[in-house]
Amino acid sequence: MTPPCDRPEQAGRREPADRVDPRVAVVCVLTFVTVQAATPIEEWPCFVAYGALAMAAVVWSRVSPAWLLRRLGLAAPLVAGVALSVVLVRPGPDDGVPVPGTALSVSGPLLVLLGSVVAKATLSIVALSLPIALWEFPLILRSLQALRLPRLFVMLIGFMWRYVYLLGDEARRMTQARDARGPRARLVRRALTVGAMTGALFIRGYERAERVGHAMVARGYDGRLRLPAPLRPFGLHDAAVIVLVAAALCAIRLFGAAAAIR
Amino acid sequence: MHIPDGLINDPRVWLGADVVAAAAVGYAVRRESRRLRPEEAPLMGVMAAFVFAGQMFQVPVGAGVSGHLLGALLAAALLGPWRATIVMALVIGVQCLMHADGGWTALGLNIVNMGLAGTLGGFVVHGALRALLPGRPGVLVGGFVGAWVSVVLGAALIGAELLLTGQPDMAGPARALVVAHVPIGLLEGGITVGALGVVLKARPDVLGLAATAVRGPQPGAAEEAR
Repeated sequence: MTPPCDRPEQAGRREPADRVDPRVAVVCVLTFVTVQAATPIEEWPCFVAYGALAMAAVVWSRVSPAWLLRRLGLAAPLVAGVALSVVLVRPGPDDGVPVPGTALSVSGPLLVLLGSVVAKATLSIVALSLPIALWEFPLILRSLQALRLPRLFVMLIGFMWRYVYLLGDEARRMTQARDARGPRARLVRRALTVGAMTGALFIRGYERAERVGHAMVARGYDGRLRLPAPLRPFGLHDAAVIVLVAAALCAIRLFGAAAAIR
Repeated sequence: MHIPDGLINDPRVWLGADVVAAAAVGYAVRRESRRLRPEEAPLMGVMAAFVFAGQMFQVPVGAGVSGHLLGALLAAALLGPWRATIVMALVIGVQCLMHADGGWTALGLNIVNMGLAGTLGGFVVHGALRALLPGRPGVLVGGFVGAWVSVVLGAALIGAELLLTGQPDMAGPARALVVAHVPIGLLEGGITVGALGVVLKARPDVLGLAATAVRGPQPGAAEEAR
């Protein structure tokens, strides 16, 4: 079973992160992910360039490749789902692509779709992994706050991050207990058992949240968000990095579209 | 049920879903930012973590396949529709950004299909049944039917989105998707009823019902649960 989020604290090394503002990284990564996800797969030369750009960022960041590969494994269920449809859906009369070595053929458009899903998911995971690996979570939260994400969201993401491991571990323990002691019941019973576990998990989370909430108020919490993670002032070179990345992405799209037509 | 990038290619469809999702979530954030008392802030964050962790519970269905809770209707029954909307949007957003579970351009689609379909669509049915059947039966029947509606409605929305892309031969897959989700919805209903049953026993005040037996009602708990 995969944990809800893996703890990335040890994944990245510090040096490159000290030279770039986390706000810049968040903006650049989100821009990259948006642009590549919105690129149609027909303009495939773009994806080669995106890949090169992502590789460059990975090398620069000195993130451990093993950790990155493990994160790439997260896309497996998604890819498996689309791959299944490639295998199951019979090709139309004129869009079959023969499978080498067999008499079978698979649907061409679905094969292209699979390629598109794999390419986009891989690029997204690599790009989004970098800020998580390079900066501590409070700094990323602080960046989101500085980038004007609604206060409520910043607050909730913070609490969620704090408690998701706790509740995830709790859920794992409960599953273990069920598998060890629960009877092999019929499906209805099994669903109700998981329901009861979910209910118990809710009560534990709810009562913990009540305690935490009252304790915070007792210590003077008034709903304002104070994150103990200072950011440097936003400098000209920070803006320059964003402009540079945006320009590179624009160039890739223009060039890639032209190359695809030719 | 997570839609990846590139599956629904028509920008009009995914941008439209982005607009719908942004409008609903934006309204929910505006509304709840004003109403949230300071001590309730951790509650919503913990609830997002709860939906995340609750989705880790797998129900073995057989033949190596297992299903898990979606949780949108459960969250709406426990927190109210607008808070649940925020929580589900957050969970789906984090799944998209940290897990690549669902695409970034499909985020709006996924929030509509898996979040709003339950927190607003399923909740309407849930609320109507709770109004018809007061007390515990209303919670349980409303929970089951609401959860079933949320899953089937979500699948129907995905089907409609596939049809809207204008690609040919999408009617068959779209119909198959809805049919496949009729039993999946029953599973969601079963899990939801099990969870609500425990909450009814342990903390009925969360659901706005008077506490029975040992635990006395907490001050302010009734309006907190809504």
